Amino acid sequence: MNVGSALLWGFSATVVLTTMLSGARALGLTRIDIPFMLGTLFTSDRDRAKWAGFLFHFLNGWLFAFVYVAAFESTGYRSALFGMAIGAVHAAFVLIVAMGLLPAFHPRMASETHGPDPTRLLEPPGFLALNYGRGTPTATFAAHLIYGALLGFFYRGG
Amino acid sequence: MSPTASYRSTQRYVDDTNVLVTDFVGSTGRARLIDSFSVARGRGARLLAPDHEILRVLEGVEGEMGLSFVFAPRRELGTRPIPLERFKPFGIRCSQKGGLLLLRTSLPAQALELEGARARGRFRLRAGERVIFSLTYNAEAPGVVPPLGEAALERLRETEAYWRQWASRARYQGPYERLVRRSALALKLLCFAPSGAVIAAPTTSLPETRGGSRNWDYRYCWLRDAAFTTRALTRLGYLDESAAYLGWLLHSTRLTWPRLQTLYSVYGGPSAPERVVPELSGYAGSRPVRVGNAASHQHQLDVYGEVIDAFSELLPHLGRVDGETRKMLTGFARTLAERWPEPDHGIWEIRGEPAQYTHSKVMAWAGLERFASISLRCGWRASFDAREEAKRIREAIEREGFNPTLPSYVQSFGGRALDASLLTLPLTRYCSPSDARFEATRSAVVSALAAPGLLIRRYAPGSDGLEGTEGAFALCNFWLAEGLALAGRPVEALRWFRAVVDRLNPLGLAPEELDPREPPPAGTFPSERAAGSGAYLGNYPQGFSHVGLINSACEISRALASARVSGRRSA
Repeated sequence: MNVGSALLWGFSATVVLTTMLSGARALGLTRIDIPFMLGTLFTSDRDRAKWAGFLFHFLNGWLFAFVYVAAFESTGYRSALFGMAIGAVHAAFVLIVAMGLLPAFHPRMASETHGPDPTRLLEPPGFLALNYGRGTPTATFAAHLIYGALLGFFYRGG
Repeated sequence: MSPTASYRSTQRYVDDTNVLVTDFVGSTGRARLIDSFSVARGRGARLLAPDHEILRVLEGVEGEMGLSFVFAPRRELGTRPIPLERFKPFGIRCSQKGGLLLLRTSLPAQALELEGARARGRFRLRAGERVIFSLTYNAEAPGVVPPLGEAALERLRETEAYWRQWASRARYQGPYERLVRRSALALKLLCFAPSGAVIAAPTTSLPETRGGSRNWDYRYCWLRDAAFTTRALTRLGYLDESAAYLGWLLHSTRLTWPRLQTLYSVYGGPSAPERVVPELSGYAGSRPVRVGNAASHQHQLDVYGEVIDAFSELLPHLGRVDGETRKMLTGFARTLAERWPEPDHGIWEIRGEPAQYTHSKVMAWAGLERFASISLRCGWRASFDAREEAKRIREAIEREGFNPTLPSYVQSFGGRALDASLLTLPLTRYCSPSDARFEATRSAVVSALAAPGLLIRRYAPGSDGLEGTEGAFALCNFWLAEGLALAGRPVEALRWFRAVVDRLNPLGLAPEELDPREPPPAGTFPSERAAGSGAYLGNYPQGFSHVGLINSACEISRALASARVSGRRSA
């Protein structure tokens, strides 16, 4: 494994993914703000949550690059297309599994079975995070496909 | 939201807050509806809360009452419905501008019927029962869904406490204290917190004549109005709001500097294209309904003077003045020095040919005079002599803006028409309030422009070239009152002041204009009066009118105090 290349392209792909999701929000395709959602795991202070969530999200993106790289190394195959395939699985996991589980472990998120209370008052994402806008699955898939494609195309094995 | 059977209703604010109370009185009972925009204070402001929330708490006061409500949000000025959907278990939601609009209620879910773009419900309320409605907007996800019940009541208490604390900062003692604080609270609601801009009024196309065509969009930040507002807020001690406006001003005018536009959007955008909305029939059938304002591209000389004057009022409260501010103000003053001989559209934004308006020249004089004083105080050096230019303007005003045959200052150079804006001459310190020429002007303006009920029109009917008539301009009464107070005549000043104040509605909110044909309602304080006198004309509530109320009340209070002191001395 080429750690240097994984770090460099993991960083770059995360920058692109974050920018794409922010852009989709600015264009009104989705309301999802992943840094805010993650940051509120740690704090109820809105400003601090944004910063903490941004760092956490960025670190996640960087670390996930190593999962992609491990897949490239173990199969001995890497290309933009293969990266996109992993990205599609990644996005599906995030939208179907992680988002579904979120209300169960997020300390500040209300759930669709229990309404909000003074502690748990964040809107739950729902299936495919559709509560955050109809364009959310599309934007999330697109961002992860590009993330995978960048890693698959630029990563140079060790 | 209304009772299902016949009822009477009255409205008032909770004292010193922007929390509105509507009392419904029916044949079987009484209910109270409390409306507020939730505000969080201190650390709470940073904690999880929706971007915006309208909180409505309905309380049964006596007996039993049937009530119904409809929720039908619309966009594009009400012309397009927005489809609604249930969002279990939270309430009813819709998407608006990419954000989430969510209606929640403490009523059971089955009490809400949903039909496409409309939700409705009916319920009965007994004494001691309470129903809560919360309408929230979240631009980002996950949005914050505020809980109802005790948590919502706590938000209401928090909001009331915020406003009371804000209102308590008003430095004013004198007649009509509650009304002055109400005016400050109304002005605060016209401030756009994210940018510091101050809008003229939150409405468009409320007619200046019922059924007429004088319908304009005031949902913009007029530099002139905002400068007046800043001055009034500075006078009352609200320096944060004044400084925020100054920051907005310096930011928003950067694109057009050193030229100043008449108005900007709350975000500082210089464009406000005017169009007619043919789908809307207008208030009381007053067409056309306009969006945008063509006055944005008019040349209005007085704006420069107003802005420099507002800055000079704030200057003693500011720390160091930075280089950027100096550059901006110098540019405005230089523009004044170069362009003051040009004709303009004047303070009333008359949509005809530009003219040499006397009020505009007076404000040009004031702007250059203030700039000269600011330069002296801050040790600035400009490439032009502001005081010398101000002297030239004064000579022109005295030569061409005063008609000795009337005798009076006149609306425009060489003319004979009178204009209530001339009442501001001593307020801008152009002349003493007891100056002989001004005294003659005041008498001439009052006799030419006073309408029944001691109300002053801004100019003679029909002189703006538009069809139809309009009401009396509330601000003009306040100018007259302030000038009289400055001249040491507070009792007379109070008479003109009361002519408007006695016509205010129960909420104490002022319109742009008043219909002089309508008699003032009974009751000494607005909240004691019955609603719906029908005397209000133009966009509402109007910042300009509230500014006038505050400034004239401050001056009357000062004049009354000095009259008391001199009375004691002579005794």
